[in-house]
Amino acid sequence: MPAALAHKASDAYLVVSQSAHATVALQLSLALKDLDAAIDLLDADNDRQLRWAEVKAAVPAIVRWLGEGIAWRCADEAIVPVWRLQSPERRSDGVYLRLGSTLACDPARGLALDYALMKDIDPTHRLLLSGALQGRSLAAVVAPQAGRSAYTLGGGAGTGTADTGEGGSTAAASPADAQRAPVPADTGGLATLANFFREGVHHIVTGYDHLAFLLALLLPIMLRPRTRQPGAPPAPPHRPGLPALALTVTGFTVGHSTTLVLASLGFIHAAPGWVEPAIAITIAISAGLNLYPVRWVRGDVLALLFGLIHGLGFSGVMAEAGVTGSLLVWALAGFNLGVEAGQMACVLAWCVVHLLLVRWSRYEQVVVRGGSWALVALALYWAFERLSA
Amino acid sequence: MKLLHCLAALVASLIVSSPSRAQPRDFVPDSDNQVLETLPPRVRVGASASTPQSADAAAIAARRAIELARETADPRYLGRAQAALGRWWDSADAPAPLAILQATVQQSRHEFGAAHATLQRALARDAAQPQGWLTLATLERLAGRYPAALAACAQVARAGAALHAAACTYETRSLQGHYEDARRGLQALHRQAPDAGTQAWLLSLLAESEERAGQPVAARRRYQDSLARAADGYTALAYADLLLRGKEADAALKVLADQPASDAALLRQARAQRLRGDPRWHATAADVAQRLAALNARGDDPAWHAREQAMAALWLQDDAPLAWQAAQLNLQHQKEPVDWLLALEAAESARDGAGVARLREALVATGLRDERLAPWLTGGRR
Repeated sequence: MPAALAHKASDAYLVVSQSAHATVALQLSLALKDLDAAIDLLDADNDRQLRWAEVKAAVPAIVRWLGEGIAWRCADEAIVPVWRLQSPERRSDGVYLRLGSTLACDPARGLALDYALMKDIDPTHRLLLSGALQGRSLAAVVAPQAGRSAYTLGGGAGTGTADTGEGGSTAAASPADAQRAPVPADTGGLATLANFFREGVHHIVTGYDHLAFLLALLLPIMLRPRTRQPGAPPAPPHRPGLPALALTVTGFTVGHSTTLVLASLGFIHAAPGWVEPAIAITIAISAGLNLYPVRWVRGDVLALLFGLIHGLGFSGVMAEAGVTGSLLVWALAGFNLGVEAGQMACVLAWCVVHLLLVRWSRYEQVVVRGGSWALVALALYWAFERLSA
Repeated sequence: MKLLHCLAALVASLIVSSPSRAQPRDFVPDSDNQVLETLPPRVRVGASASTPQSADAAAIAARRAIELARETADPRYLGRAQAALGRWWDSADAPAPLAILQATVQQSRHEFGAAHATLQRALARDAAQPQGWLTLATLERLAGRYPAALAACAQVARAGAALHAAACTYETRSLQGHYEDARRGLQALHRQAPDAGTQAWLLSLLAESEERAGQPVAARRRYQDSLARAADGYTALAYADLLLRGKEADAALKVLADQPASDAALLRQARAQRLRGDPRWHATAADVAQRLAALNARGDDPAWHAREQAMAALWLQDDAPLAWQAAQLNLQHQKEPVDWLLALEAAESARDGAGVARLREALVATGLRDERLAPWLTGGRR
């Protein structure tokens, strides 16, 4: 028997669940055969053998397509989910790709989706919806027939109403949907801001390379003056206290915000091929300078310049989110604020650790020099790994 | 006996509910180079607003998508064919060739009533369409309306496709019991057939005619000849059915091995495994059940898959009432000899004597003649 067990027409699967009070988790599975029809460059070498590398490379294009094909509304405002690749999965009729996202939305205030994926490619395509919201289980079939098809997931009078009839247009949907649609894209500013704020926090807190860079810059800063121990190695030229810390963190913020905004608005383009290894190298250089200081190099200037490169790394996330139009400004603002908030939290955490340890006689030796060596090693490993990938 | 059934049901439900089968399975590719999916050739469906396409381009794309659906047994490509027809789908001003392609898509999806209506509208406006009349004849035969089928066959001749018109007529006449005429006529046509594909098609008609004439040995040879000329999914399934009726499970499995794993093919594979006592039949049957459930979940009309549902209930699930119910629903939509056979067997398993009598009456009214059905016509089987 051939591997592809085709037997039914095109379906996509959406599983909706409520992970916290005002958080909705989404899992969307799409057939690779359908993605191939929708995304020209999926089978990049056009040999009709779809390889894992080709699928991974196409994720940004897939996410963009999802952004164009599914419109989400939370509390009557547009909201843009950030999709992440989860896993390939085998189903009865072939291999699917599952993407996941978390929406900052309280479903009690109304969550709705407007589904138009595959509309021009296959009118018999269906979205099979399942899961649970607000303690109620969901099950529906959404058809993107003649127009877009709206479905209200939670909240309001229209809960659980699907428009799957002939014609399938929003105009023919239930009254609750009809009065809501179409929603102008720019009414969703605050919801998008909140959603991307979470993304920004998530990105910085789980983005170890940005934290490693920040740590490399902060290691030599002494918030509390300390006397040199007899016999200890010569200390690096410490910058004095809080002002240095504030300047360095601000430099990093200004740097990465600049390139993030420029790249997201399309003024500059960076190939991810060099950005990721370059980020690793910035860490190695910053940590190396703690060990072998160069007199004319200032930490805050370094933070600003290298921050420019880190900003290009952040912009990859924005590109994958596929936000366009007037919502982009809100998304950018939210993401940037989220990154700053996450960054401030991490800096505060470091300050606490620093103040606890700084009286230790071997602080210089173990924390500053040892930590810097460890960061150099880690960064070089990352650079090697990213260059060979 | 009851305990056995309970045990079997328990085992089946365990298989169905085991995550490896019923649920999607995540996997981690071994390497970037691992092939996740083999894709069929690209069919360009340029029906977006930015690229308005010509009727000719739409017809070419739709035809290719329909071929793809046949080769792969993947109904997804019928949806693509519909998209390729774009604004002409269900449109009153569609050129006849496009409307005929629409009817072909509908027929392939088992939307027989809709296909029939589409064809009648198209052919009323433009009668010079041999393919349209041929498809209409197929739908009339499927509905058990043999005089209407013969009229459509005559229109195929009028539209200038003599060989197809003759084959159409012989096939219909064979269904009415004129086996000898059909045998001679189809053999003569086979000698004139211009290519292997046409030869294979005529041989498959001949094979089916021999089966109805009560000549399974001759039918078997014809099926083999046909498949040797050109492999065709429908012919392979019909041949597998012949073998399964003769309890030749191994031979049936061999025929099915080369087929794409459509629901119909998998169903027969499970039956063959069960016949030869292969324990894997439980897993295959669970797969079939899961697929039928998936079709219902996506909101397909139950009538479109009622034949498969009835076969699964009768052959694999030992659920006579369900089989009988599905077979009756199926018979409202298609009345090929296999559909009558299925309904009669299901009615008998469900011990519905009145049902068998009703079927017998309806069968006689269509004028269908088939030696395989004869035991029921002469008052009860065997």
